Order: sequence, then structure tokens, then C-alpha cells
Amino acid sequence: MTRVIQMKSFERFLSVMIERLANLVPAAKLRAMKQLNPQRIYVENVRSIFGTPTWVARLVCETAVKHGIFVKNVQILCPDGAVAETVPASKAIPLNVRCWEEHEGDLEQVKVSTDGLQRLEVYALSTSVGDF
Amino acid sequence: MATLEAADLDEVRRLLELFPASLLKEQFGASGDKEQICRAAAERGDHAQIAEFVATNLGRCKQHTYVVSNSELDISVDIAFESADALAQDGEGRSLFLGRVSYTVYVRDPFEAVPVNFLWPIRVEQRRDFKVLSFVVLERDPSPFANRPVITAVRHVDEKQTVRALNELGFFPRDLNRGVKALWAEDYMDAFRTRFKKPFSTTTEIMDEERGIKQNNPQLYEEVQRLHMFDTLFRVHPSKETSVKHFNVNPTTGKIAFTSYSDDAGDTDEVVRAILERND
Repeated sequence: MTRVIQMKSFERFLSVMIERLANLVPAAKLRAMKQLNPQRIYVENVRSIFGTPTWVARLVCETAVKHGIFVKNVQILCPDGAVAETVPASKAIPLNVRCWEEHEGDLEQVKVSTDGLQRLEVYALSTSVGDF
Repeated sequence: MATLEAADLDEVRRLLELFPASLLKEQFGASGDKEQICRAAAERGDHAQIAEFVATNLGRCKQHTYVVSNSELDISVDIAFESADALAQDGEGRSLFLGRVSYTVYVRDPFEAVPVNFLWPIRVEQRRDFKVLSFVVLERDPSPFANRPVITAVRHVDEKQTVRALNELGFFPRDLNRGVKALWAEDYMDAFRTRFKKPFSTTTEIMDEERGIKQNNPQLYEEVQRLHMFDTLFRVHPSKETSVKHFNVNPTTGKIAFTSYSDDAGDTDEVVRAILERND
């Protein structure tokens, strides 16, 4: 995998990626990366675009964090999969979140302990990298 | 008022417990917790006062509202309300009925089948071409009322059966897609959960962190505006002066659900009225 170079914008970052990977990855996949929402980049987005194992995709994202290009957040998922909250990875997970539960056809709001709730990593382009 | 007059103390107490505690304290002036206030009011036995209280404040309860067409049969809608009779009329000429819902709670120590009954308030508003029916949401689990370890509880009449009976009698659901979408377009509320019908699939969309669809995904909003909507959870815009923070509506089946108490009996009515005004 190529060495990640700190860039001033997501487009410049992608341009470098495209240039470095042009011989390794079909152009269509690289174009797919451009369509990602820079505030919500999931490991699976990167994995599926590059066709790599998940650990490689995660390594790419974590390397981007280390170099200040991405910031890492954690999403807390309600039992039905809805995202209850997104918190920076550096901050503590709240003890409870609000979720919606179905009871006999009615959706009711409940407070749920985050203990045992699924979490999902999500990355965002760092604001210090510049406007996109 | 026969149903109310024939009701036992526990049935009347449970009827009052359908209302918010703050309202009960204000109306009946008693001290203690909700159960104590309701028991004291039930023991006083002033049925006229209770009937008026229920009629005036039904809008503050958790409720399901259905908009149905008038039947072509020459029948009254309350024919579908099992064991119900007319209780009162409220200040807007709407008719209040009181039905009875029976549960059988199977308990042990020793094994026994315990009947637990609830009085069920239902309001009917007659409009020119349709009716608006509001059913107060009853206690889902009657087990606490059996006072013994419970094996299971069985309900003998429920809202789904009643609505099905209404449909079979020709009171068909009124489509509310037009009214709901018009109100949504005016930013009265925004949806954060919705189900809708595409040509070859039914799609559910749940927004992260309860974000509004119209505000955060205008493309999806435009798409949904053109499709049949099913169960959709809306949040009322904070700028609106209402205690209704959110409501669930299935525009295709004409059902609106308020699953929280409201601070004013008119607040839930206002949401229903706003939808209906834009529907025709």
C-alpha cells in the first residue's frame, strides 16, 4: 500500500491516491472514492472500493488519522441499528442514549444503556486539512 | 353513562390513570401519587365530574387517531365499539364513548385466571365526508393489576380488531398522504424515520441521530414526496407552540399516533386538524 502523504484538501489527497494507484486499481473504483461523503467515511467504503481485506482498509484510515488527514469518531447504534449518537473517539462514550422501540405497533422513545450496544467507527476529513 | 355507572372502583381508577399525573392533581386536588389520587377520585363516585373530565381532557392522553370515510350503510360507527355506550359530548360537539376491554391474566400461587377490566375512552368527531376516531392507548401489560406472579395475559378486545370491524362495516381508511406532505412542505415538522413504497420494494429510512430528512437529505425528501408513505415518525419544529414534540403517522392507512402525554388537550387536535385541512 502506498505511503500516505499529508495534503491540503481531500481532492488533492485523492488526486495523489489516484495517481499512485492508477496502475493498481481500476479508474472506476477511484472515481467511487470521490463520491464519498468526506464527513462520513466508513471502513467498508474504503474496503469495497479498493477490494482489500478489511484490516487493510482500516489501516489506511488509521494511517490517515495518524497523519492528521482524518479524524476518527465512534457511532453508537441502537438495538435496531439506528445511530443514536456520534462521539469523537478521544471522548468518553455516554452512559445512556435515546433510542426508539416498537411496542405493539407504536414507536416509543426510551433511554438505553450504551453497555452492550454496537459501535461503528466512522472517519471524517479533518478540518485542519482545508475546505473541500 | 351506563358503563361508567356500572364500573367498579378499580375500573374507574384505571380510567383516570390514563391521564397525566399533573392534570389529575390539578383537577381532583388530592395529594399522594397518581394511584392514590385516582383511587380517591374514584371513591368519591362523582360520575358526572369524571365524565366531563374525560371528555374535556381526552386530547392530553396517549392516543391513536384514525380518519375513516363514512359508511354507505346506514349505521352508526359505535356499532363497532364492543360494550360501549355514549358518555358525553365535549365542547366541540364530539361524542365520547366508553367501552370496556377485558383481559384474562393467568397467575400462579395458586394457578388462577384473573379477569382485569379497563374502561376505554373513544372519541368520535363527525365531519362532512369522514369521521375522526380517537382511541386512548390502554395499559399494554395488565400484569401489575393482578397482584400475583403472572404466567401470561390475554386481551379479548383490542384496537386492531375494532378498526378491522370498522373497515368491514364500510368505514374505510382515509388516505392522508396529501395533508401530511403539505404540512411537511411547510416545515411544520420533519421526518427522521419513514417507510415508503418504491415500484418493486418497500424501503425504510432511519436517519442518524434523528436528523430530519428534508433538512439533511433533500433528494430523499423529494423522492418520498412522490411515493406512498407508511409509518413515519415526525418531529414537530421547535418553533411551533405546541407540547406535541413528535408523532407517528401512517398516511396511507389514515392513522396518527401520539405516544406521549401533551400539556394541552388542544395540541394533538391541532396536529390532526392541520393535516386534515390540507388533505382535501
